[in-house]
Amino acid sequence: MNRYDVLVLGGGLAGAMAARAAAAAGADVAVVSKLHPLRSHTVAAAGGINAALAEGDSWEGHAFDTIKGSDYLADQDSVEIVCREAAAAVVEMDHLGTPFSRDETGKLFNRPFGGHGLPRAYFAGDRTGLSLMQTAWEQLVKKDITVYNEWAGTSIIVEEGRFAGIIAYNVADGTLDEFQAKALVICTGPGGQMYGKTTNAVTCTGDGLAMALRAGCALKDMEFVQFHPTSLHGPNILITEAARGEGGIMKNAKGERFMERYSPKMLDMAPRDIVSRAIQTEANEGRAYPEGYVDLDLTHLGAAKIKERLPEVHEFAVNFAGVDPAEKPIPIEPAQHYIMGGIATDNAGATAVPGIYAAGECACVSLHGANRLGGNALLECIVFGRLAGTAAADFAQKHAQVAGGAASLAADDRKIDGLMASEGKEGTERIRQELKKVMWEKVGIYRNEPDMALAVGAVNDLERRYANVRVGAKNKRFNYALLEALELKNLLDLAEVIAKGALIRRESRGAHARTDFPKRDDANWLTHSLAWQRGSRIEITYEPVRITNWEPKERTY
Amino acid sequence: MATIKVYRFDPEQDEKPRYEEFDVDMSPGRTVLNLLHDIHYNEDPTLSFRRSCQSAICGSCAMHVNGRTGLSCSMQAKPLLDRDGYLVVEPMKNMPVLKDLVVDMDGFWDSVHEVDPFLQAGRDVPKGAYVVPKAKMDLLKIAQDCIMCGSCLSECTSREANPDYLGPAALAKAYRFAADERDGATMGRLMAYSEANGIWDCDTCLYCNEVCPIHVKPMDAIMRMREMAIEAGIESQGSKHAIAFYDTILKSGKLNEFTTANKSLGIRGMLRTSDVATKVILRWKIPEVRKKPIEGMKDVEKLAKLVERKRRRRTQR
Amino acid sequence: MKYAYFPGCVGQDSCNELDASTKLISDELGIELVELEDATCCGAGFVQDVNYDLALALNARTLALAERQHLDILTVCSTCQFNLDRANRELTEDSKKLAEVNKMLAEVGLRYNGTVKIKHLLWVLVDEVGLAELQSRVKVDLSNLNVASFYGCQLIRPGTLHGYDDPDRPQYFERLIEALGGKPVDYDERKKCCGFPITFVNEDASMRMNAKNMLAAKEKGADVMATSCPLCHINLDMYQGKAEKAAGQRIELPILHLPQLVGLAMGISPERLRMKRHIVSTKSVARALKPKEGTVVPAIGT
Repeated sequence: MNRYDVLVLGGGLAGAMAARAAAAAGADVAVVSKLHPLRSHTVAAAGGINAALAEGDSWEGHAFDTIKGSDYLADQDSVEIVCREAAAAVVEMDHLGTPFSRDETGKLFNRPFGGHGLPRAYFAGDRTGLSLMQTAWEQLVKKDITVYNEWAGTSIIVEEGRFAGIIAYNVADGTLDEFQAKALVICTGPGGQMYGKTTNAVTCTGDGLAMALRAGCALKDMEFVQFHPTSLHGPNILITEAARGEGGIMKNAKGERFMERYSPKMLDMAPRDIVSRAIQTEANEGRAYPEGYVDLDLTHLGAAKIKERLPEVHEFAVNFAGVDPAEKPIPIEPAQHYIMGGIATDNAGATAVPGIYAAGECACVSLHGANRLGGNALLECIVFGRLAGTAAADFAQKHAQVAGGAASLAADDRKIDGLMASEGKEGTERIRQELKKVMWEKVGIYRNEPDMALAVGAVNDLERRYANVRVGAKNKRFNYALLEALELKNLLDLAEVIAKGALIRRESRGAHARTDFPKRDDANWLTHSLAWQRGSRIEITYEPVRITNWEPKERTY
Repeated sequence: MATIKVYRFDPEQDEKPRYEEFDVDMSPGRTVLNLLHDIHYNEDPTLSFRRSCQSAICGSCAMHVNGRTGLSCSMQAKPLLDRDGYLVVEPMKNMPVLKDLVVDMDGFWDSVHEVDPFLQAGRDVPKGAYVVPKAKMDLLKIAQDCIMCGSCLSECTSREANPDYLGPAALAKAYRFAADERDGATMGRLMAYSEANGIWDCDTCLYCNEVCPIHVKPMDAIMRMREMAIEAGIESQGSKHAIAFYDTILKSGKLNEFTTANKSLGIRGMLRTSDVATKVILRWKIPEVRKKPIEGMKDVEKLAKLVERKRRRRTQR
Repeated sequence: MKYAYFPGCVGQDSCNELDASTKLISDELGIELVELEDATCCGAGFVQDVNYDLALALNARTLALAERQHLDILTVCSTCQFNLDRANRELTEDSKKLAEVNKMLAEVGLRYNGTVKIKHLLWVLVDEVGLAELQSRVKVDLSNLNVASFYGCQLIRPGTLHGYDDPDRPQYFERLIEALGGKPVDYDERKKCCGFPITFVNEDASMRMNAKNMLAAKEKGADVMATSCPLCHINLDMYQGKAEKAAGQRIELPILHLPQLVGLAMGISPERLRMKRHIVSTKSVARALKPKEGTVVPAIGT
C-alpha cells in the first residue's frame, strides 16, 4: 500500500504538468502511468500549440476562433482562461527548454492552423507534442517526482463521498496494489480505440474516463468525437494539419480542389469537422478513390521545404505508404482522432466527486465544445494540467485521508481472477474488432437515428459477450492479454455513453453530424450533455453552456 | 503465409530461451508489429511485447529483428524475409530480458537520468521567449527528436563491453542541453561528461547513427561534445590522446604513433603496455620515433591559421 | 585501373606490411597506384575531435590533390575510408561549406570541385578487378583455411555513406575469400568494433571487446582472421596478448591484412608480404597453404 497527498493517473503532458504543479505547491505526489511517460500519446501530436503571441494578435481573437470553432458549445469562461494563459504557457515551456522553432532573427516562429484567423501555432519541427512531452518529463526528472511506470489504474476508490485512493495493476507481475491519497488528477488522455479507423495508439482505451464514470463523475459531451481529415490511408497514421498549413492541397480522384465547394474562404485550412465531412461526402458521392481516400498534394512545396518543415510527414509517407511526398500526393482519409467530451470539470479541474480532478483530453471543461481546433489540445494540457494539479494539492492540504480501499482491492482481485479463470470461447480481440466496426459505421462522421440505435444495441450485446471473454494466458508477468481485457471493458462502457449521447442529441453541431437532423438547433440543444452511471444504467442530464462575450452565430468559413 | 521465429523466455519460469515458429500472413505492407499482433490476438495470447502508437513516435516497440534493432511498427516484414530467407524477432540487446520481447530498461533510464536531462537556466532569463538564432537552435537537430526507444543502446558495442558506459541515448540527450544556448550549465556538463564512462568511451562504431529510427546522430553529438570539451580546456584521458594525436599532425602532417602513445599513456601507461612494447620491439614493429614532415607542411600551417581566424570571428559574434 | 593511393599513416608505419603487400598485389593485378605523398593524415576521428573544421580542410586538400590528377582515391584502411568519405559527402552536399573551404584552399593554391570518389581496396578488388579475374590468379590452395573477415565498423557503417555493402549483411569480404578459395567464417562479430578507438581511454573495455570478437570467430572454426583496417589490426594482432589476459584464455589467432590474404592466394611468399612482422605468429597460415591443383609454376618470390 502506498500513500501520497496527490496522485496523478497518466503521465502524458497533462499528467506531467499536473504532477509538477502539485509538487511545486508542496504536495507529496506520485504519477501512476500505464506506460512510461515518454510513451504517452502526447508524443504523437504533431503540428503545434496555439498562443496569441505575435504582433497584431490578441487572446480575444484566439478565444473567438476557438469558440466559433467549437460551434458555440464551448464554455466561454473556460476558453478565456486558456486563451489568456496561452502566451505565458508557451513562454514557460520555452523557458523550461522546449526547442521551439525559430526564425532567422531568433524569435519564435508560428504557422497557420485550421480555423484560426491568424497564424498562431508555435511548433518544434513537426514534433511539437514530442518536444513538449520531453520537456514536461524532464521536469519530473529534475524534481525527482515518483513515477509508477507501467501500472494501470483499475478502480478509483470513493469513500464517504470523497476520493480515497486508486487500485492499480502492475503490468510487470500482475499484482494489484492500493494507492491512498487525498486528491487525484486523472490525465489518462484519449479513448479512441473503440473506432475502426483511429489515429490513436493501441493503448488509448479511455481507462480514466471509464473509471471516473464508475466512481460517480459525469462524462460531458461524449457524443462529440473528432475525426481528423488527414490520416494516412491504411494504417491511419496522423498526417499533421501543418501539412496543409505549409501549403498542402487536397484533391479528389478527379484532381479537383474540392474544399472550394465546402469552405470557399478557408479552403483546406477549414476546421477539422468540416474537412472530414467534405472528404466523407466526396467518398459517398463517388468522387474519391474507390477505397474512400483522397490525395494530399505536397509536390509543389519541393523536397527541401518538406524535409525542413515536415520531416515526419515525409517519413510516414515513405515508410508507411511507400510514397515520396515531393513526387506524389499522399493518400489520406478521415479517422477518429480526439474526443472533445470527457470527465466534466470546472475551471479548476474539479469533478463532481470531491478530491477527483481531471485535465487534458480525458477532461471536458469545456474548452473545445463540439469541435476542437488544431493546436489547442497541447495548450489545454499545459494550462489545465497546472490548474488541476495546483487545485488538487490545495485540496489535499485542506483535507484528511479517507480510509477504506480494502473492498475495492478485493473486488478488483476477484475481477482479475475471474478474467484469468474464464473458460469462455471468445478472446478480447474479436469483441474489440466488432466494437470498432459498429462504432465507425454507426456512430461515425455522418450519423442517423436507426444507425445509432443499432449501435447502442450492438454495444449492449458486446457487453454481454464480454462477460464470458477469455484471456487465455495464465502467466501474470507482462500479461498484455489480461490488460487488453481490462481495457476492453473501459472501451465498451465509453462506447455506450457515446452512442447514447449521440442518439439523443437531435441536431448537428460541430463534429456531431446527423443526416436526419442536419441543422444546428440552439433553441433546444445549446446545452452540454452529462452522462452518469446510475446502477447499471447510463443517465443523461444537461447543463447550460456558459456564455460570456460571444453570442452564438452561424458558423461558416 | 510465411514463418516467423519469435524469441520466448520467462527467466522466472524457463531454464533457457527458445524460439517458436508461427505461420503468419506476410503480405506486402505488413509490418513486424502487425505479425506480432496477429500471433498475440489469434494464436498465442501469452506472447509479451511492448507497443503503443504504431507510428514510430512513442518508442515502445524497439526490437532486434534479423540482426538489427529498430521499431517493429515501421519494419516491413516481407522485404526482410525476401532478403534473408527468414524472419527472426528477438528482444533488444544489452538489456536483461524480463519476458519474451520485453526488456528491463532501468539501466537505460538510469544512464539518461545521470546526465541531468533537463534545462538548467542561466542567469539571464528573458521576460518573453528566449531569442536564439535559428542557426544555433538548429545545432540541436541531430539530437532533439530522440524518442528514447533504446535501439542505439541495444547495438552499442561500447556498452556491451562496459555496462557503465553512459551510452548513445544518454549522451545525445546530454549534447542536446550542452549545445542549447538557453542552458547555463554547459561547463559543468562538459566536465561531467568528460569523466570515465562518458564521451571519451565511445568507440565510434557508428551503430547508433546507423540504427536510430528517428535519424538522431548520437555519435555525431558525442563528437561535437568532445570538441566543445577540448575547446573549453577540460582535460581527460581521452582529450589527452586526441590532442597528442592532433599535435603530431600539426608537426608533420602524418600521425606519429610513437609520440601519441607516449603522450597519451604517460609513463605509467607505457609501463602497463610494456608487454606489448616488448613484443613490438622484438619484431621490429616499432613506429618511427621521428616523422619526416610532408612537403606540404606550409599548407597545413596555413590552413590551421585560416581555420583559427574563422573560429575567432565566430566566437566574437 | 589507376588510383591516387592514400596509404594512411599506420599502414606505412607500425603496420607497413600493409603498404608493402598492397603494392605487391596491385602490381600483379594491374592496379596502378599514384601515391598521394603530400596528403595529410585523414584525422582518424581524433583530429575531428579536436578541430573538426581543420580536419575537413585537410581532407578537402587531399581530395583536391587527387582531383588535380583526375584520379579517384584508393584507401586500405576502414578509418581513412570513413573520414575521407564523410568529408567528401559534406563538401558535395553543402555548397556553402564547399565554398567556404575552397576559399581556404585557394590560399594554398588548390581547389576541390567535388568529383573525387574514394574506394577501399576491398571494393576495388571485388567490383573492378572482379572475382572471376581474382579466381583465375589464384595459385595457392586456401581450402584448408577458414578465414574470418573483420571489416572494421567504419567500412560498413553508416549504410547511407559508402554505398557498397549492406551494413546488416556485408558480403564483399566473404565473396572475396570464396573467390580466393578460402572458406569464409560466418559469425556476428565480423561487423562489430575491434575496440581500437578506446584502447587508450578504456583499455579494459577495449580488450574485452577485442577478445570476444576473436573468440567468436574461433568458435565458428576460424583458422585465421583477415581485416581491412590497420587500426583493427593493431588491436587484433599487437594487443592480442592483452586480449588473452582480459578473456582469461588463449586466442592464438593469426591476423592478416586484406592484401596479404590476396597475396598469399596469388602465390606471393609470406616473407615478401612481411608476415614475419606480425606479433601473433602466422606460421600456421603458411603451413596450411598448398600449391593449387594443376599449378606447375612455383609460387612467386619463394
